[in-house]
Formats: sequence, structure tokens, C-alpha cells
Amino acid sequence: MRSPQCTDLATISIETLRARVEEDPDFLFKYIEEVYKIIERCEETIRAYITLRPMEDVIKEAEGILKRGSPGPLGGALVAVKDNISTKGIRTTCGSRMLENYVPPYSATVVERIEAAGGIIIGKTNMDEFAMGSTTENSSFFPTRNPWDPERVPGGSSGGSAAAVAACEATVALGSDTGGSIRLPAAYTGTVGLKPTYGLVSRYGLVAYASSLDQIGPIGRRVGDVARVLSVIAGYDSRDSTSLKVEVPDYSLFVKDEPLRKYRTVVVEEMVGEGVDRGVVKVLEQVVNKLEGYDIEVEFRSMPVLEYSLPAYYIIAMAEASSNLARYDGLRYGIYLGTEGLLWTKAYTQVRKVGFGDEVKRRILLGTYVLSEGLYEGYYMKAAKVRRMIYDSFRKLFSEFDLALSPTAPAPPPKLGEVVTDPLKLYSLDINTVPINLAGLPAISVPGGVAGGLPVGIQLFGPPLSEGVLLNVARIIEVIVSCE
Amino acid sequence: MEQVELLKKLATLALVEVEEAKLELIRRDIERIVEMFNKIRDLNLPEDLEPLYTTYFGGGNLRDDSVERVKESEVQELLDRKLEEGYVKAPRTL
Amino acid sequence: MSDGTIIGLEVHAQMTSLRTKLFCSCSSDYRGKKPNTDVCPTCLGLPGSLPVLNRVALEKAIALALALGCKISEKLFFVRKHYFYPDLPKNYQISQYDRYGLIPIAMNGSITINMGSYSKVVRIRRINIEEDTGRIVYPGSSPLGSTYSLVDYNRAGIALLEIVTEPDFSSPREARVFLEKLGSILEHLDITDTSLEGSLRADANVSIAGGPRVEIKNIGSPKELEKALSYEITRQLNILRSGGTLERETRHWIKERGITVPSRAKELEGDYRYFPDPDLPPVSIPSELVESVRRKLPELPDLRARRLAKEYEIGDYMASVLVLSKKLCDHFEKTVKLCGKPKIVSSILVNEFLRWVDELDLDLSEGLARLNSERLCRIVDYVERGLISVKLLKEYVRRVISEDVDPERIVESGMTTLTSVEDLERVVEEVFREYPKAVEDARRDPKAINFLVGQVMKKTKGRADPKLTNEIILRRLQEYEPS
Repeated sequence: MRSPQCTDLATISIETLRARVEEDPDFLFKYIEEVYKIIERCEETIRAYITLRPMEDVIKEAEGILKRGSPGPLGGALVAVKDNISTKGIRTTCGSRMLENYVPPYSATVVERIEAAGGIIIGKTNMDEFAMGSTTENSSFFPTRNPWDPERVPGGSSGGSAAAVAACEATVALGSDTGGSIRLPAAYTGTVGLKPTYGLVSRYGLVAYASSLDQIGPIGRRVGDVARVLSVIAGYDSRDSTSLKVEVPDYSLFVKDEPLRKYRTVVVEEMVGEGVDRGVVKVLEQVVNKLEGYDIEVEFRSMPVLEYSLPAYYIIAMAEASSNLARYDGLRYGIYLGTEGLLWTKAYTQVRKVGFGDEVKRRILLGTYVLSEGLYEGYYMKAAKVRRMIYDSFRKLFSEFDLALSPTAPAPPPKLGEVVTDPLKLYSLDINTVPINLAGLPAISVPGGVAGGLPVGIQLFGPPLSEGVLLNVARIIEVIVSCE
Repeated sequence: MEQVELLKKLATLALVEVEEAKLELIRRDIERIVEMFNKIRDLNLPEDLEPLYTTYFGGGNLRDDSVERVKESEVQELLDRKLEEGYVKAPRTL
Repeated sequence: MSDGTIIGLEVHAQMTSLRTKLFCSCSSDYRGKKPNTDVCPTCLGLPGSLPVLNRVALEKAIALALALGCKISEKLFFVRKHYFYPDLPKNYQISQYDRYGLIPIAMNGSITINMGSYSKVVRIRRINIEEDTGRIVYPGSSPLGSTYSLVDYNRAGIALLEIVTEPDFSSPREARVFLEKLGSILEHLDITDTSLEGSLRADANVSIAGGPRVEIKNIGSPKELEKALSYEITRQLNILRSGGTLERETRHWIKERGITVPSRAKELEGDYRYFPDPDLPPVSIPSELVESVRRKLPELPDLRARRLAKEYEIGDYMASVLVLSKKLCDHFEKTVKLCGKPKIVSSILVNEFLRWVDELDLDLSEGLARLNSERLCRIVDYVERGLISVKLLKEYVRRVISEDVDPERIVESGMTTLTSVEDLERVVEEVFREYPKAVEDARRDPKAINFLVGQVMKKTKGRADPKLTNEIILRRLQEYEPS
């Protein structure tokens, strides 16, 4: 399943790239040139990038890597980074006018790790403003288009990252996921996207949207690529108080075409309920049937509390967002309006009026509402109680099963303009992905087939730190699908 | 309308102003979203059900009390602004 | 003071002994540095930055909680307190709260203050750990005239302990003694060096005669606290007496003018929208940690006072005043080790030294540096030898503190007790000649010789030995015959 923009060379996996470069260092330059050719051809339509580094800079960096001797685990891979992840010296806008010219003085931990492993940051990708959205149409600059069908959205909020990977404008990408923002675009663009267990990947340098839900994760054309990047970025970071002190395995070891052991697998009924497009459900059914051939039997369970996951999620996410975005006042960085003569409340209001788009304003107002005196207990605290119930339900589920399957998105990618004007319609795209963030579980979206000619993603999720299991089964599905 | 009053109060709290022209549209959207939120508000949940505010399950991350200075040369870059004698220029506070 | 005066305090103490700030590794030694040089992405609140708690800050907070007899919570929770202001980089402060199932690090303790004729138990409602803000300065000389402000973030993120009392004070004096004692406890625990500017700040809530609560902010020392409260109570009484009504408000203490004024900054009071900080998951406070802190607790003021009173036989009240300042107390013990004489040394320090330091508006450390142990011992020696009288002693102490001179210099200048009977008799003659009426009065009523003694003192610039002078005058009165 390859999108039309890709050429044979540009479709390369990290493993192959690395091997070829070790043999013949010049190959790296050939590859870089190929990618930039595609970008030149396709970017005008796709518009995956907000900031693209000039080829000369990337070439120079490639030379530096080759001088080191070994090209590292990433072998010179070109990594597209979502524009809410801080990159020192490279503009980081979060898709917002507020940070349109903000150049961070430091890099996120994940960026430092990628660079140390031989990865080259090729550019910063488009996104919904401050990660608030599910289609990348909320970017303050321009929308990104789905490489499979430019009339359709690539998903969001990591739409730029997913589109760049799908169109071979990068080897892999980094995205962020708060309620599905990696998995949804991966599903819509026929790529693989993984959201790690909360705390597995450092958030230091990730511009916060909802701190208790955000995670950075990889997007790639293959499960193998995603596993490699995860191995590089995962692991304890002392600069993040929510970072887990755990052993990080070599995730590539789990990318096997056979199940590494017997997996008890479940499908949650509410995730294939009536809100889900029948074409999408059919794709899931076909995958499930094929899995039986691998001795992976699927059972069904009901989880009624999931009915409340969308409102609980949005209450919590908007509350935390209203808090995390309070710092944007134009004083220390970001948009500058020369408002000194005004009283600070007036000055800040002006900056925030001009700097923030409508969806962001809406979420800040709602977040302020649910945290306000007198309403806190009825909204935020209750949502947190529902969160506890969802967490406990999943815990119980995964005491019986090793992993769960579901469609990632309730329908194939919509057309541009189709959902973005109706917030509730927009929010409903996340119905299968938000419960995962509420519980802090790991999840991966892997292409499962097509419905009406458009990519359909299968979501696999499991208990905390079960990324190995997910990668194993995702690889098996990858094999199944490629054989069709 | 009471809702508009509420919106204006929130706008003052959050220092986020909505243009008059868009006020009605945003108000309507917010109304519908709050209706969705009310599903949670109207739930009957046990008093002793403990809220879950984080899914972090590690033991805790504390930092040693040792100084790590940002390099002199880099300190200037930290503030993306023209400074006045080293200070950040800010709006009036009185 | 009037009946019905109720005062409560909210004290913010910087943990100046920490090397770094509360949530980042910037140096905590920000005083005197060029603005915005002691900063990093975290304390500036840059996008993507995150807080990580200073382990020692937690230990020090536990130490204070133990010293105040508080109940320590089993888990450490942090909340975000939201308001917009240029000195607050994230436009929220990371702090603690006591609602919605969240609790501060410690609650329900007490401090006992010794007021001389009585003791009082002041209840501590809670102790919070929180971060300090940056500092705002104004261009030019007049804050009111400037069209903009200037911000220095060096202080942003410094670790604070907030100590809140119940409204248990009934006089400004009690509040002052409390703040001194709290400062001393913090010094003995090596948490705060209270001589550093801005290290101990207080907000006071005061109401009189059952009226509304007025909050006074921006008080920087125990001395200022007493002044501010006295002023405010008088101001309120005047309003009531002239038939006016009081209203609940926040006022600002202006040290330079000795008054409180209505707070000009737009009321930041309002809906702080507290909620648990998702970047700082709850930290367990195991009992082993608490016990290890308890084992390492140093000698605290109350225990020290009891020891001093016993070991040096200086009395409870004297000891309780000495322990109000660790530096003063250390100085006392050091001096006594050098030359003994605890009763005189303590009396000098408590009755003379503190008074002069107060009147001359000197820093305590500066005062102690001037009246150092060597000089103090020298003065004590002069008294013991009879070289100077107790009256001259006061003069010596004053001059050493105000002029920073060695006591030997004062001796050289001739300021010793005049004990020569010959010289004294001569002066007494002079006085008798000049004040015949007083002599008559004294002959009739022996108690009236004080005037004559006073005149002798005046003529000898205080050097006359009081005892001898008394004797000589009495003798002369007897010998004297009316002309």
C-alpha cells in the first residue's frame, strides 16, 4: 500500500537505508536528493511542512554524521518533526500565529536523542493549532492534504507528519498524541503511528496541550521503522517528572512475522458500535479472520463506561489546555505587538486575541469554565472520576487479555471542510482513540485495508508498557495486508 | 442573554476576547459542547470514588540540589526579546 | 490596644539555604546578579519546559513541619494557581491547596511566644511549598508616572515556604514576636538566612471590634510588621470614631512613608481555578524519610532557651529573647566561651545592643560585627575591674555600635569612671555653689539629692562614679552649714 507520490528509492525503510549507507556513504546523498525532488514536486499540493530545512543544511549534517564513523541506529534517516516539538534554532510555531516566529533556544529531549542516533531533522510539520483538532484544518497557516486524495484531510493534529511520511517526503516522523493525534492521521494516510505508554517518552520540549494526556510518538511507513524510532526516543529523562524509570528493550526484536507467544485478544463492542462506518468494520472483520490463521483468537467484551469517554476527555483536555496556554502573553517570546503603554490585562488580551485561532479560543474558554470556582467539582473532578472508572475497566480487561483491537477511526478520512465547522462532529472522530489517552495506555494504528478506496487503520492497544506485544501483532497485520 | 454574560466573564478570566462578530457563533458552539459536558455533570457517582489526575505510576522524580548553569552565551537567547538594560519590557502594572 | 483586635499572618519564607530553585537547577543565589541572567527554560516558562522538584526542598519543608509540631501529609500534591501578571512567567504559580481532597505538606501545628508577663500559643493552620515570582521594577524614579514596567526573572522559581497562622494575635507586638520566633526557627533549621533582603515577607489580616478583615501586604520584617499593624489599627479606629465605616479591602504597606494605602494593582484576587498540576504527579512521603529528617533536627529555639537559662542561669525571659535570633544567640554563646560572665553579656545584648541596633536602624549582622566577641568581652572586663560604671557601660555599647570603634579608643578618650575622691569633691563643691536652693532642698529631703547627683554627672560627662558621688554629697550635706 504505497501512496502515489512515492518512488522506489524514497520508500526505503530505515533498516535498508542504514545498511546501504554503511556500505556506500554516497547513497545517503542520493537518498536526500530524491526526497527533495519529491518535495519539490508534491509539496505545493500536500503542504505537509511549515518549515523545510534547505537541502544544503541537510547535506552538511549528513556529512557530519558520516564523519562519525557509524551512521547510528537511524542511519541518516530524514525525520520530519511536528511543529510543537522544540528544535533549537529551528522555528517552532505549533501551527499558531502566537508562535509564528518563535525559535526555541533549546531542543526537546526526543530531538536530541534522534540526532545522537544519526537521524537528521528535515523540517517541521503542519498541525492543528496547539494540537487542538483532528484534521489539521485548524492550522493558522494552511491545511495539509491527504496524499491518497488531496480533497481529503490527512487527519490531525499530526497531519503534516503523517502526510510527509505517506508521501515519502521524509523517512519517518515524530508526532504527538493527546486524544488520537498520531493514530488518527496514521489511519487516514495509510501509515503506522504509535502512541507510547504515558511516561515512556519524555515530554520535555513538547509544547504542552494537555499534560496528563500528551505523548510524543513515531509515525512511519512500516512497523519496523516505528519500532526503531521508538527504541531511540523512549526511556527515562530526569527533566520530566512524569517520565518512567523503566528498562527500554530493543523494540525491533518484537517486529516478527510470527506471534512471539499466544496472545489473548479482545474487541470492545462499544468501539465497533453503530457510530462506526460499516465499511470500516468490514476491514476489521477481515483482519480478525486472517489473524485466526496465526492462532490469534479474538473475543468480545462490553465496556459501557466508554459512553462517557468523549465528554470526560474533552473536559480534562480543555481544562489543562486553558492552563497550559495561559503563558502566551507576548511578553517573553512569541508574537510582539508593542503593547507596553497599556495596562497588562489589556495588553495580554490584545496579544491573545490576535495570536489564537477560534478553536483554541473556544477550548480555553471552555477549559476556564470547567475549572472555575463552584463548577470544578461538577465538571473537572467528576470527569477525573470517570477517568478512574475507565482506567479501572481497562485494568480489569487487560488482566484477562493481552491486547485489544478496534478501528482507529469511525470512518474513512472526510473531505476538507466537511467536519471542521461543527465542533461536536469533529470531536466524534476521536471516539475510539481518547479512552486510550485517558488510561495512559500504549496504542498503535496500522493500515488494515481500504474502504471505498480510502485507507482504514486498525488500532491495537494494551496494558502499560506492552509496546512489544503491539508491535508484534501490528507487524503480523502488516504482513497479512501486504499479501492481499 | 445570560450565556453571553457568562462568556464575557470567562473571557475576562482567561484574557481571551472574542470579536463581536463571532460572539454568537462561538456562544452557540460552546452551548452545545457544555451540553455534552453535562452528561458528566449529571452522573451519579459514589462520593468515595477517587478522581484520577495522572496515569503516571512511577515512584516519583526528585532532583538533586546541585546548580546547573545555562551557558552565558545562551542566556541571551532564552529571551526572544529586546531587553532594556537586561530587563524584559512589560506593560503597565499600576 | 483596643479589645477585639484580631490579627492573622501569612508568612512567606525563602528557602535561602537551597543551592538551586524549587523546580529547576538555576542557582538560588540571585541577589546582586544582573537581571535575567539566572534563568533557564523552566523558570522562564518557555513552551515545552517542565518542572522537577528539588529533593532538599522537600526535606527542609518536613523539618519545619516537625519543628512546628504539624501533621505531615503522606503524599505531596502540587496545584496550579492561575492569575495573569508580568512577574509570573507561566501565568500560574505552582503551589499547594487544601480542598478537593488535596492537602498541603503540613497542617495544624503551633508556635509558643514568650511575651514576658505571659505566654501565648499561636496555631499554625498550614505550611505550603510554592515558587516565588520574578521582580517588577519601574523605569525612572516614579512608579506612578511610567508607561511600562520592567521585569527581572532571576527570582522566579525560588523555593518558598508559606506559613499561615490562625487569627490568634491580639496585638501588633505579639505578631512581631511571633515573626521573630518563626524567623529564628527557620535560621536554626538552616532553611532561611533572615538577614537577606526579601527572605522573610509577611501579609497580615487585621480586624478590630468585629469589623471586616483588612489585608496588609508587602511587610518585610518583624519591626515593620509591628509598625504597619499599629498604624493600621489606629487608622481604622480613627475612621470608626469619626463615624465612618470600614470595608473589607487589601492595602499595601509603604515602609518609606510609614503608612498603608489601598492596593493599586487591580485585584488579582478572584477565581484562581486551582487544579492538580499534571506535570507533578503526587510524591509519596514515606515515614522513613520523616524519621530521618527528625533524627537530624538541630537544637531548636525553645529547647535552646531552656538550656541557656539553666546552663548560664540567665532566667527564662532573657533566654527567650536571645533565641529570637540565631545569630544573636550564637554570638552570646561564643562570647561567653571567650570570657564567661553570662549574666552581664546577656544583659548587654538584650537590654543595650538590641535597643541601639533598632534605634540606629542597623542590620543585626552589622551590629554584631561591630560589637564582636572580643570588644564585648573587653567592655565586660572594664566593668568587672571597675574602670567603668554600669552607666558608662551603656555609653560604651552605644559608641562601639554606632561608630564601630574599639573600646580601648573610648578609654583613651578619657571616658572612664571618675573615682578620685579629690576630683569628685571639687566637682561637688562647684555644684553646691551653683545650686544653693537644691542644696537646701536636699538637706531637708535626702531623696532630693538626685538633682545634685545629676549635675555632677553632667559636669563629668557621666564619668562620675555614682556610688562615690552619692557618698560625697551626703557627707558634704551633713558638714554643710547654712550661710
